Amino acid sequence: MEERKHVADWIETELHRQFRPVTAPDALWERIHQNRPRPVAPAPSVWRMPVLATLVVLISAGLFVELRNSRASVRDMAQVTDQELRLFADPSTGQTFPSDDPAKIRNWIKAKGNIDVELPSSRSAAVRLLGARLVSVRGALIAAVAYTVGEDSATLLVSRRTACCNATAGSRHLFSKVNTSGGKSLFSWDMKEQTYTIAYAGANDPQGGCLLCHADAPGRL
Amino acid sequence: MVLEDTERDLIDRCQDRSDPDAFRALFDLYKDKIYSIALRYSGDPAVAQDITQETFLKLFAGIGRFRRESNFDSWLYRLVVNACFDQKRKTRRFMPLVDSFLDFLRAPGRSALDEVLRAEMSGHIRSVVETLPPEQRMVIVLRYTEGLSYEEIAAILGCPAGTIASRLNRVHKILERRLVRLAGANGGKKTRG
Repeated sequence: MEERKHVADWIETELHRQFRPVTAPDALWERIHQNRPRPVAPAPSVWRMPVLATLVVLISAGLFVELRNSRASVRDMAQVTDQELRLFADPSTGQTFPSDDPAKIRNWIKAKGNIDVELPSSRSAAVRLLGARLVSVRGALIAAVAYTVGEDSATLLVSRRTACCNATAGSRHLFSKVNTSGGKSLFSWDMKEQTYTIAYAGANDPQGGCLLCHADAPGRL
Repeated sequence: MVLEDTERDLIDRCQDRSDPDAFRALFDLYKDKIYSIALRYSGDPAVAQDITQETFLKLFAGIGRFRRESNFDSWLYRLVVNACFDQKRKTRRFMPLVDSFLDFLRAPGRSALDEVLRAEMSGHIRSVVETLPPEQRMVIVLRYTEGLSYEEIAAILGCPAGTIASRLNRVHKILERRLVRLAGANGGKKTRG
C-alpha cells in the first residue's frame, strides 16, 4: 500500500517535472511577424460596381434636388413660415442697433443688409421705435425693426424680393397674407421689390401695427 | 488586477487601432504559455514552433471578433488546443532525451545509477503518455504545464469537469500499473546501494 502511494507520488512529481512550462525561442516573433498577413482592403467585386454607381447617382441627384430646394426657400421672406416670422418678431430678443431715430435705423439696415426700410419721420404718438437687427433664415436676410404701439410690441420684417417674382411696382400695397394666431397678427405684402411683414401683439386692435407708417391705419384696411 | 488591466488595454488597442506595438506586447505576454503547451503536447520543438505560429496568426487575424465580455485566456487556450489537434505531424517524443538525461545528471545528491534508473522510468512515463488519445494527452498538458483546474480544462475542451477528473485518474492508473514493478526495483536497488 505504501509502495503504491510512493509510486503515485513519484508519478505526480514526474508529470509536473516533465510537463513544466518552458520559455519560447526569441526568434518566434520574427517568424510570426513575417508570416502575418497584412490587412488589405477588399476589392469591390464586379457585380457591386453597377450598384455602387447607381447609389452614387441617386445620392448626387438627391443632393442636387435638396440644394435647389434650399436655394428656392431662401429667395425671399414670402417663403419663411409664420412660425419663423413670429420667432423673429419676439421682442425679448433685443436689438443689435437700438435706436428710436427712423433715419439712423434706415441707414444702419441699408449699410449692413442692403435693404431699404423707409420709415416716416412723423407717426402716431403711440408708436415708439426700439431699434433694428438683421436675421438670416436659410440664407435669406431679413431686417427686423422693433417698435411698440402703446403697450403692445410690434415688429416690421423686411426682405428683398427676387427678380423672378412679380413685384408690385407702385408704392401702394395689397396684403398677400393676413394671419392671426398665437396672440400675434401677421400682415404681409410686397412693395418696391421688397417683402414686408408686420407682426403685432395687440389683441384689441389687430391693425395697430400699421400705425408705424399710417396714422390712420385701421381705416386703410 | 494590473495584469488584467494591461491585457484589456492591449486587446483594446489591437481591436480598435491594429496597433503593431500592442500585437508585439500581446505576443510577449503569452508566447511562453502557448509555446509550452505546444511543446509539451507535441514533444518536438519544431512542431511546437509551428503550432505557436499558427496560434498567434489566428489570434491576430481573429482578435477583432473577440467579444470583450468573454474570457481572453479561455479563448486563447482554445486556439492553441485546436492548433495542437490540427497539426498533422506525428510526435516522435515528448522531450529530447539528451536534455532530459542531462537534467537528471545535474541534480545534486544522486548516483549515476540512480539517475539512469530514473531516466528509464521517466522514459516509460513519456512512452505511456505518447500512446494516449489527443484529448487525454491535452488534459495532462493543461493540468501539469498550465496548472489549470478541472473546471478550467473542462471549459476549454468543452466537456464536463467529471470527465476531466476521470481521464486524469485513468492516466494515473495506467502509469501506476506500468511503472509499479520498475519503481519497486528502483527502490530496492536504492536500498541495497
